[in-house]
Amino acid sequence: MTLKREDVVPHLKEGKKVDLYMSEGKVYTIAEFINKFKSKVDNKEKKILNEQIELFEKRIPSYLLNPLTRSSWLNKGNKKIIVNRGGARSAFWEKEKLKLKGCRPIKDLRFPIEYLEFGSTEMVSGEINFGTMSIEGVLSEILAYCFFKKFSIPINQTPVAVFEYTSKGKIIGYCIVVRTPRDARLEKDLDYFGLSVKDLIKIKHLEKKFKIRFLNGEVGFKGVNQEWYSKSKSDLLLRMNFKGGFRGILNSNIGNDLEYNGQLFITDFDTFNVVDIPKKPSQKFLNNFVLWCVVEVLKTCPTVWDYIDLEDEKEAVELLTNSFYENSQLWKCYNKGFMQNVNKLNWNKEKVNKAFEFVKKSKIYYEMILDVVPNSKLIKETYSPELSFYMPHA
Amino acid sequence: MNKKEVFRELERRIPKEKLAKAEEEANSYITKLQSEVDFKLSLSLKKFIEARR
Repeated sequence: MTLKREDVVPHLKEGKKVDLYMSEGKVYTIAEFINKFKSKVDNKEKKILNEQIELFEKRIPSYLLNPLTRSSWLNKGNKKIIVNRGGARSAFWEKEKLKLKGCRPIKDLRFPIEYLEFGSTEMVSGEINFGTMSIEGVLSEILAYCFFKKFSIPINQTPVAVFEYTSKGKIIGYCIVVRTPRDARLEKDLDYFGLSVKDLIKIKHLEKKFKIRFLNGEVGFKGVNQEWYSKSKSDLLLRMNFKGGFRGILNSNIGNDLEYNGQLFITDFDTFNVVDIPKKPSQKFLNNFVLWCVVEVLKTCPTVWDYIDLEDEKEAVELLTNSFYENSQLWKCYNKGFMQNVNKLNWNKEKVNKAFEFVKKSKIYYEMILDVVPNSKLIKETYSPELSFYMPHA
Repeated sequence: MNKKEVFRELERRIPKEKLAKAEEEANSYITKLQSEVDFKLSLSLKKFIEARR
């Protein structure tokens, strides 16, 4: 198994159309998958899955009776279907409105992941098989759907089936199939005005020198009302977070926002999990809760229009935070809603404020905010963008 | 707005006689920064930000 940037990156350079082939393996209904693997989630998550299990289709549609894959080396039939690529390991079958996530097994190739445990302040790095999903990842996607339905939070995808790929009789990974009317991401409309990194630095230098407020706020989307976006997204995140739902660092990505019929949705839940929300939370719980909320907002925020020279790292957090608070419309909406929830739940505000202070001092907060407010440290630490692992949706 | 319009609008707000010197300062900062960076700073902001995701 390898985890080399140079080995992974070539697999990310693909066109907008890909082929789907029939593969060896097994197809589960969602209920069958839950019943077989629910021992892998904790009791509160199991309860949510059990409560909502009746929502799922009892039969597998005829066109999904065989696992489908993007990987030609698994091809066991003659037929191939041309579909949209989706992300690095997914496909969107427009005709059937089906998204296949994790349908691209690649032999002996690993992909990096990062996560934050509830109760920890440091990110942990790990690796997963490239191209497919784990049992836990599939369960998280299903759990998110059940959770959103339970709390009537809008979601635009419904799990339909799970593929279990095999090669020479050995299981090599899983793929979840979800029905969704649209998979085009808002990310493609992010509007940077055609500016380069150099242009941004120059503009900010001139603005600051002549005390002009010109390019401020956050990067917007072409044709999208920014106020609507910030309000809709913060509302979704708050409803999810205050019921104990969190997407995790990897899924909290602006590339997972989409708009359909005038409504904003978030998607991608393979690192979704649920925490219990106590009625009278302790300081320790609040520290962890606020940390997860803030980290996920930072990870999913549009970049703000600023550039900060971080010569003196002692002041870095303060400088970046001030810019973020001033420029991020999403943060303003989220923070306002957060405090409204705190009032409604009658949580101790002093403890909540202490939790925000705790978060600001954490290592992960610094790491996350560095990516939201452009700055010299970030630029100096960025590897050549040709070696990026990120692949926008087709 | 496109890039040209952004710069035109910004420059409109800066006293002409002071613009050249300020631009020179900015360029000198950028040249120094470029020497410490692994990629060309002329890279589009969009690509740079995507690469960080």
